[in-house]
Formats: sequence, C-alpha cells, structure tokens
Amino acid sequence: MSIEPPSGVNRDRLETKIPSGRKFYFLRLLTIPERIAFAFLVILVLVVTLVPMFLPYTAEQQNFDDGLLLPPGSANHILGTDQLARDLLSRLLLGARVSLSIALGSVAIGLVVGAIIGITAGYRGGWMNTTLMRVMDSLQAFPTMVLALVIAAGLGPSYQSTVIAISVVMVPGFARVSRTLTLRERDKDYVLASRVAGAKGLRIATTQVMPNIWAPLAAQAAVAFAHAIPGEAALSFLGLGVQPPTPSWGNMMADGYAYISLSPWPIIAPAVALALTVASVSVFADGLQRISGEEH
Amino acid sequence: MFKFVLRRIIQSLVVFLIASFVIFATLQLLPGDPARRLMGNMATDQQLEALRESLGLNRSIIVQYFDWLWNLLHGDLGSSFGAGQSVTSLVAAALPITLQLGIYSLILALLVAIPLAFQSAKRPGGIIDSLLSVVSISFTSLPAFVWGLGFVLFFSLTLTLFPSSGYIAPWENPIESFRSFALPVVALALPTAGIIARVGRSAIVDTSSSAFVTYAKAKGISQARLRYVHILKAVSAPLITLAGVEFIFLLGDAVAVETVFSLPGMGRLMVVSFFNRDYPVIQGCAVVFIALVLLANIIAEILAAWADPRVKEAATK
Repeated sequence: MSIEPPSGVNRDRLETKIPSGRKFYFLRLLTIPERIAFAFLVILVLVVTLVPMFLPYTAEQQNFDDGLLLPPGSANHILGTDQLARDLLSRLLLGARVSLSIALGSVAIGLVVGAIIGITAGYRGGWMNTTLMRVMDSLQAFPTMVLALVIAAGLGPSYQSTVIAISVVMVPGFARVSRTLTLRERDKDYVLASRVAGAKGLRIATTQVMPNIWAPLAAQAAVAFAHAIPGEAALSFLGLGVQPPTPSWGNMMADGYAYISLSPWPIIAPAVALALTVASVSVFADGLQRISGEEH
Repeated sequence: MFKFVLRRIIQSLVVFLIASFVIFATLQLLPGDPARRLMGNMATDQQLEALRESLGLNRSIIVQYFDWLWNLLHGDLGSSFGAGQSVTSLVAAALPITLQLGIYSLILALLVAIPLAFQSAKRPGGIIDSLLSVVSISFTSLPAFVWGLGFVLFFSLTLTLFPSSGYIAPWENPIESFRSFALPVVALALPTAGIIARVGRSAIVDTSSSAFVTYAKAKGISQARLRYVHILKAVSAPLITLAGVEFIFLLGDAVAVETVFSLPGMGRLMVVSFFNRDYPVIQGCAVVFIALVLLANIIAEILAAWADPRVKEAATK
C-alpha cells in the first residue's frame, strides 16, 4: 500500500523534489565527467581493498633475484621494482591504502571537530563565537604545511601524527562552513518551533540543525579529501609522515627521488596514481557542491 | 580607511599571539626531555640540571612563553641548538629565498591564470571552456612538489636545460639566478594558476551579464578594452583577495618544493631543523611564517579596497 500525499499538495512537485525510494539518486544529477570521476573512485576503492590479497609480493619483500629498479613490463613485476627490488605494483596498492586511509581519517576527524566548533559558535553566538573563531583564525594563519610540520615535530613522525596534523589543518575550514550554515538555519521557524517545544541546545543541534546542513558539509568533506591526499604525500615525502618501510605515495616518491637519475618509474607510478585520484575527487566534489547548492 | 587598517592590525596581533602560543605549546608536547636530547645519554643529573637552568627550561611554560615573546619583540628568536647560531640570522638568510620564490610564483600564476580565465569565460560551456577546465584541473591535481619532481626528471636530467638544485641570488648573477629559480617557480605556480583560473572564470562570467558590460558593448569599445579594462577592474577585488589566500598556500607548498630543489629557504630550514631536533629554529621559522601570512592578508585587503570602491565602502563602514 502506498502512502498518498495529502490532498492539495502538488504531487509532481513532491516527486521531483524528493526522488526518494532509490539510493544514489544524486548520481543522476551529476554531469558525465563527474560520473566518470565517481566510477573511477569506486573502482579505485575496490582495487585497493581487494587486489592486494591476490598479489604474490608484500610491500616490504625484496626480490633481489629479479633485479633492482626494473622498468615496467618486466617479468613477474608489471610496474617494475624499486631501489630495494620491491615490487612497485604491490607498494603502489598497499601504499594507496595507507595514503587514502590517512586522508579519510583526517577528513573524518576534521569534519567532526570542525562541525562541533562551527555549530557551537554559530548557535551560541556571543563570546563563544568570538573566542572559537579567533582560534580558528589563528590556525588559518599557518601555511598548511608549516602547521602540519610543527605538529609532526611535536608528536614525532608516524601514521597517527600524520592523521592528527592533517586533521588539525582541516578543522578551521569545516568550522567556518558549519558556522555559516548554522547561522542561516538558526532563526528558521522549525528551529524556533523546536525551542518552543522545550528542546535544548544539543538536541536542537543534532536533531534539527545537523540534518539540514549535512549535504553542504559532505560536499566540503569531498573538497577537503582532495587536499588531504597531497597533504599526506608532501609530509611523507619530507620524511615527516609515514615512516619506511611502510609504503605511502609520499614516501615512495621520496625513495624514488633519491634514485631519480637511475630510474624514473618509482616516482612516476605514485605520481600518476596521486594525480588521477586527486583529479577524480575534485571533479566529483565539484558535482557534490553544485548539487548541495553550495557552489562558490 | 586608516581606522580600518588599524583595526585589522590589532586583530592580526591577537591572532599572532594565539598562533605563536599554539606553536610554543605544540613543541613542548614533544615526549622526552630537551636537555637530555641535547646532551645525550652520558650526561649526569647535575649536568642536565645545569643545562636546564642555563636554558631556562625549569620554569613554567607560561613564563617561558612570555620570555620568548619578549625576546621576539627585540628581534631575538633564540639560538639554534646546532652550531649555537642565532635563529634570527638563520631566518634572515633563508627568508629572501622563500619570499622570492613565493612572489615570483604568484606573479607567474596570475599572468597565466587571468588570460585563461578570460578565454574560458568568452563562451561558458563551449569547447574552449571545456578544454581549459581540463587544463586547470590537471594543473591543480598534482601538488607543486610533484610538478617539481617531474620538472627535474624532464628539464634537468633528460634535457639538461636547467639545474635541478642550488640557489644563486639575482643580485649576484641575474641569468644564473633565473635558471635556478625557473623550475621551482613554475612548479609552485601551476597549481595556484589552476585555482585562480577557475575562480576568475566564474567571477568574469557573473560580471559579464552586468549592465555596465552591456553599456560598454553598446558604446562600441573593443573586446580587448572591454575585457582587460572594464571587466578586469570589476573582478579585481575578489581576484586580489584570492591571490592573498593563494599566497599563503604557496608558502606552505614551498616547504616541499624547496626540499626538491635544495633551495636553502625557510621551508628547507624547517625540515632540516626537524631532523636535527633543533626546536628553536622550527619555532622561529613558524613564527616568521605566521607574521608573513598576516602581513599578506592585510596587504591583500588594502589592495582590494584600493582596487574596488565597493570593498572600500564596506570596509570603512
């Protein structure tokens, strides 16, 4: 049995506004390049999660019998090997897990912390708003890499401190966006109604404000993800992020740079992977921003 | 206008205080005892205590912070753990390199991006627009340091056109200096140019439907004059603001680019100090970076107000 909308409501309008009942309806709102980018990202996630299980090498395994710095297309090694005779394809895919999980983790932490700060500042206003936003200003006064470097220096280089460093860099952006969105929603009738009904700050923030601002925040998260990937790469390239022998796209490029005059492939492989991923994420993020009505 | 600038300077000072405390506190988080790090495992307790006493490490962090801030006001950033050099002299040697790198790259990025933006905005959604959007996305998809790696591979090692490392000051040898800056500057400029081109394009598209553009067209002025005088003036304020923001990103990206090209700038200095556990130098560099960012913000706002009376009016209200 289907639920009929109340009489007097224009059914056509209802249906176009809420193409409900189907998951991923947002895909139909994307342009063709955006769909291609999305498809690439889905394939990337599948490949990165599944394929390493079937690879004959681990990321750290040295295959000196096969040879050092082999070019792509060598027997046994599709992408060749690096300076320690490790299989480049294995390192690229296992490094992708490291790089992408750092990016994902730092965006998630940045999003949650930033949203809490932004919604609090926007909803409470007053001195709370001023204090929180001044702190955000001062975090934004750092060139991103400089802040990340200071944090990595304070915590010592590791996987965890890379995540923390990048997420701290992300927080002000999320705080700003969620504050602006909260300010816009704060005085709307439904929030007022909820307040009249006796709901307090936290309840209003989670049950009333959040559902109405999550879409632009998700789009912002996609944009942030496109910045987090190069951020990890730069930190690990400098030796401040993921430490060898664990592979990441950044430290693979650092390894490759030391032997650049002997073979370019250990740099080219992660660079191409990085470029394709970042390009796809940014094209897809543009689409999400347009759909959520937050295009700048 | 003067009042506006004064207010911005006071705001910046507050931000500077918070940010410098963030740096100071973060570097104190570091596990382990700095005195032990400096003297090694062989030091006796008395020696460690004496060193802490002489470095002032046994005082509370707040006292240490204000002491450091007081010295900072006198231009003293402390002394490096390494060779005992003053941090101020290390920064003074590195700063001109980073500043040149940042400024040249920003200028190059603007010179590339603005014509690109006008070409795309000619016919939004057209073939040229689509092609140029592919170009600008590909510019931004690789971080600056990866462009740098690619340039070393292609222009230094394969074509041997440009050196892959080293710094020569322009006042020593302008030609060699140009050659040593060429690759890092282009590497830094590309991602920035991509972003400026995209934002500039949408600003130009929005402006092109304004009444003053229709009026100028009706007057019969040339396309070039319409674009580079009338429209450019109207979009200059948002472009200047964006350039200010992008300059900050450039300074951050410069850290890795300086490492790729072994340019002895501030970023390289910070990274080297990180590996030498030379925390006073990291601290000093970070503080100077923040001062640069705040200065760049104020300059960008003044320029934007100067370029666009509407911004000036909003700012002085």
